[in-house]
Amino acid sequence: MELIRANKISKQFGGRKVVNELSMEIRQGEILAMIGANGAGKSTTLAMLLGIETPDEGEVVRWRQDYRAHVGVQLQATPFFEGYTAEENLRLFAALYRTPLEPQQIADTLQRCGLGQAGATRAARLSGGQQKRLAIAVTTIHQPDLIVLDEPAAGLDPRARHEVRTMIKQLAKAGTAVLFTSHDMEEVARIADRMVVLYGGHIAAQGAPAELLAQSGCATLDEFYFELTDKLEGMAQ
Amino acid sequence: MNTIVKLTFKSAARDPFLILWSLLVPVAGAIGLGLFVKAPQYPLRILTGMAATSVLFYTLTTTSFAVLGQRRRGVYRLLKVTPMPLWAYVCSIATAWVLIALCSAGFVLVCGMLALGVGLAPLAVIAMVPAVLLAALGGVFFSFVVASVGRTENSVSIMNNFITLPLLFCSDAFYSLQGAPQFVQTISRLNPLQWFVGALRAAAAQSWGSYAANVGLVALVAAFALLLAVKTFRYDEG
Repeated sequence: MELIRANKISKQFGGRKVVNELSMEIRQGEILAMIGANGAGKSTTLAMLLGIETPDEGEVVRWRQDYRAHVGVQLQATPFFEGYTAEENLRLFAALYRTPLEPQQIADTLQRCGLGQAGATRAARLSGGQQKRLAIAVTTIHQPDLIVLDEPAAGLDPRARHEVRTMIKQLAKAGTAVLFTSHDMEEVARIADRMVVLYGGHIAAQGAPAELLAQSGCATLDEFYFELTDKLEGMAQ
Repeated sequence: MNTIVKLTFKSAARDPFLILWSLLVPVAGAIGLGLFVKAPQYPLRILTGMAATSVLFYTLTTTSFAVLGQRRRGVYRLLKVTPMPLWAYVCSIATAWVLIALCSAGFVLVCGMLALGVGLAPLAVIAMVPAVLLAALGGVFFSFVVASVGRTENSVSIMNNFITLPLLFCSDAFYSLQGAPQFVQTISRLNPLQWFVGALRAAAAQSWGSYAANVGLVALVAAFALLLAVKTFRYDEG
């Protein structure tokens, strides 16, 4: 089942077209990676898919009208509430999603994210990996159909990255679609079912990582990405 | 909404800025000056002045940094993808902040009354509540304006000082302005903090004409601040 379908969406800011006739879809239970250099249009595309921005042209079709109650979002700046503990952050986000949580549910969520002992610790004092896990936990408290994560493993040490990837895979296994942005091709190769490569506001390539590698004849996704973007840059010049 | 109010209230109890600038400093100032200045009317005067200062520091200075922090961390942008409308969220935190300001002012008054032996009639105390609530509401709305216009902690800090210092020094919150230059006295008549302090003192004296006039002016300032806050509100740093 398709959760979101974007049909030829475009957006411009200050006369510059940031997203140009982009079409893509997000399917239930898949892990979809969105790749692209800074300025490729990832954030604007995410904003339009989520309804934060309205496309100038084209349309975004979502699987239900009250989709906001069924999407969990972690934008680049982790929106923790300063001065609140991990547990209080969970309760506050649950209130934003209008999902009252029982103390046991909070304890279970913290436990599931490996934060069982950190419930009373202020979010700002958690380690980088713990903060990312808490960020993902707050996106899941209302059991959404779709989770959107902006660079979920950026800046983490190898163990914390592994933990975040494991969490993402577990969520998809449970039927939740996960859309994430990343600059890390190794991460994409390890966890994504499909990937979308954005270049200059449009989709340069999309498909399963293995398929894209087979079609291109490249050995790694890094090689594939460099080859693709070099080719596009050459065409642009 | 209840959860947000409760959690905001709970986290405020751990806020070092609130504890220092809206509780400890005003209480110490009220008691210290109240004991030091030997004038029969001064204890009540400094007590109401410090209660007003407590509200001003919390609702303008402390909350403007909180609003800035929430915006920078993407909280307001995130609200666009939650079922909770922005206005409901803002109402929740504003309610909590106003109630915290009321508690802070109450704490300063009670501590000062006990230490300085000042008595207040129950009716006077009741009449002070709407004045504090309206002033706190105005302060909270202005804090949104300050956090929207100032883009960094430094600029918010500068703006807060630029607003609070003239308000304090051109009011008779701490000292009488009778001997002050004419222009300072003129400014004080147009000073919202002076109107707030005037409302508290009028309530203490049960002088209802003056009370109504000052509370009315404070309410107008709160309405103006709300308009400005709506006009200048920014979801994110962009």
